[in-house]
Amino acid sequence: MGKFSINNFTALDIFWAIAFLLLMVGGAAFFYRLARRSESDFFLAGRGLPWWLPASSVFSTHTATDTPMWITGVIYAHGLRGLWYTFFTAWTAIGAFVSARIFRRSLAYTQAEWQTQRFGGLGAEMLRGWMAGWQVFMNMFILGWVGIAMGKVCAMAFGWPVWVGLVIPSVITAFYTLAAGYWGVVMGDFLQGIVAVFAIVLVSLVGVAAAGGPTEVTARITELGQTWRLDAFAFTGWLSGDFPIVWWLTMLVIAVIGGFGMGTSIDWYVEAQRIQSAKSVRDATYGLWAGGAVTLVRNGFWAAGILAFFAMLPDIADQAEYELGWFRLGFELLPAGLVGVFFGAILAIHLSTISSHLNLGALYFTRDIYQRYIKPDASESRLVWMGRAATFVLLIGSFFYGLMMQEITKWLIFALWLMMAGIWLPNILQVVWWRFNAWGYLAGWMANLGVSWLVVWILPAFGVIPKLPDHLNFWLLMALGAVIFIPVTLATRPEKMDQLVRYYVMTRPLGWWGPVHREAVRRGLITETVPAKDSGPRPLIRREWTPEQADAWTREDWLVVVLSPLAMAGLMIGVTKSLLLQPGGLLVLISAIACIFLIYWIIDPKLRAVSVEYESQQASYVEQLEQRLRWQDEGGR
Amino acid sequence: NGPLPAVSPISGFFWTWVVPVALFTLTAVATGMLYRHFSRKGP
Repeated sequence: MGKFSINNFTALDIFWAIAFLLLMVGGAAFFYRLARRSESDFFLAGRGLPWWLPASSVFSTHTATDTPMWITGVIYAHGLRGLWYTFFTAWTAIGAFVSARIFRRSLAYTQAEWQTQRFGGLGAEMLRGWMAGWQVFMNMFILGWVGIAMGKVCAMAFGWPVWVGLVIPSVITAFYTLAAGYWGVVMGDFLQGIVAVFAIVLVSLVGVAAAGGPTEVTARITELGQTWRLDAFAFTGWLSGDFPIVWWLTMLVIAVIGGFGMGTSIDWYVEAQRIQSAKSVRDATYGLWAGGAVTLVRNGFWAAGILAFFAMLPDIADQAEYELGWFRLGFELLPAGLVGVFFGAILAIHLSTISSHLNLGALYFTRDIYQRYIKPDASESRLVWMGRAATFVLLIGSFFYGLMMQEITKWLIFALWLMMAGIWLPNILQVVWWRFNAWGYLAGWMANLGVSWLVVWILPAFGVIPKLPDHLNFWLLMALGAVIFIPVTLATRPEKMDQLVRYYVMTRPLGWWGPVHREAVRRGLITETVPAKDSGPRPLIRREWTPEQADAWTREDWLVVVLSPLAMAGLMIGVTKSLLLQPGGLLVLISAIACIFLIYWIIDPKLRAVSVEYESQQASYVEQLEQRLRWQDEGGR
Repeated sequence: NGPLPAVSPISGFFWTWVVPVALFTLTAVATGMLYRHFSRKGP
């Protein structure tokens, strides 16, 4: 294990660390009066948040104490091209404009609930139950994972036993998460986001300055004969070496194309709650997009600081040592007072991740297990108390996960990875293809569990196939899974047309929905958009939208789908290159920012039209959603 | 893998006192404004 010295943690630093901790916990707990009103307040802040609150929650939740360690690891090992390892966050680029819009309109609290809106019958209930149980344990696992990372950081910084950093901060976080539910989570995330952004920007700039400034950093790397470290596209060949082109293309497919689906990234299950807590479709879109963009800009700042760290200490061979680079910049270079603020920021980063996963795990238990299958007629106050009890159980469960993490990490990481890789394509098909049904999706999950063991462990062990790198396994798992779930889908009946039409009219999904669309038109539930005779030709970019026009997917949507990933990549790379005064860096950054304005100009009129029209119907949709949850539709169970 | 071969580029009264106080005040004021805004709206 690595070690770094804190030789200057003074009484003043202890004061600031405690002051920021009390402010973050107290500020979040204050919102308990809003959270206790109802289930929708305790888990979604009453679906009333403007876009910048879900955005800061996306950012804060995905910045944990182990994040600066693994990102430092890839940048120290790979240089600037290591940023692409962090680009999986870019599923938000298309996701914000496609899956976020569809999910927000479904009004589902969780992805498990969405399964029973998109699919029907026994298959849908099996999916909902499986997904809810899986996510309860998944959140416990993530809590244990980030908890043990915090335990190690505290052990290295202060010499405390590992359990102290695992247990104490989580208990403190559980206090306000129990009291104030999602209101506390999202407000805490906003405050913690301010402190975290301050620390990340400051420490990166201080690191670059300490190394002698940007020109000195690049000169030192050039002196070492390693200018490839300053090239984001330093490929090592199509298939060979540490950074093959095929890896990069596979990453882009998984991340960028994944934005058309739900669950293509493990982050989706967390962000779905943030999407649903936004006060409109427009706020949900901007919230997810801004959260993803700020996260990528964060990576750009980190990369500049870590390249400066590399320029100062280029010969650290041990990964456990160089992973601590960013922590060392903060603890060794900041003056008294600011070191305490820096530790306060590390606490902020940690608390925001813990609180989100506590509340999300409790949501899956309360809404998708307790309310759906155990007590459908539970009162609002009972549901809030069940949410609090579930939060407490998740907290205790996470300690057990954390303490046994050492032995099982390898298996769990494998399980985590395969759950995302083999199920990636079904997660897109369920959103974009009307014919895909519950049995096909279930078959996709089961095929995935069987096939991935075969491909990754068993067949290579017997020499039947060579051991492939992960990015090639992804394609193999996708193909083998499709051979199973496509025939199962076509051999079983499509979902009932009543179910599909209800889902279609409510969410207006993208993709191959022709038969359902025609049926909805035939029933008079949606009107075909026929251009008026005197309206003239359609403008290239439409500025005025009727509700019917805004509900359909048009060229404006496709334009932003193309521009959005480009803007995100440009932001991330542009920030690092600009901070290091690299040629072209500022040009990339300015182009990316111009691209954001263009996206806003193209899509904002349409999103406003969608939001206004949809909000006029939301109250009646919520009523129907709650009735269905209590089995009060089509003759109950 | 010795200590960082660098001295801190920032120090003094401004960084030790002014910056932490300013950040703390900003965060505290943000908390108050958020609470006022959202507690005024009805359920």
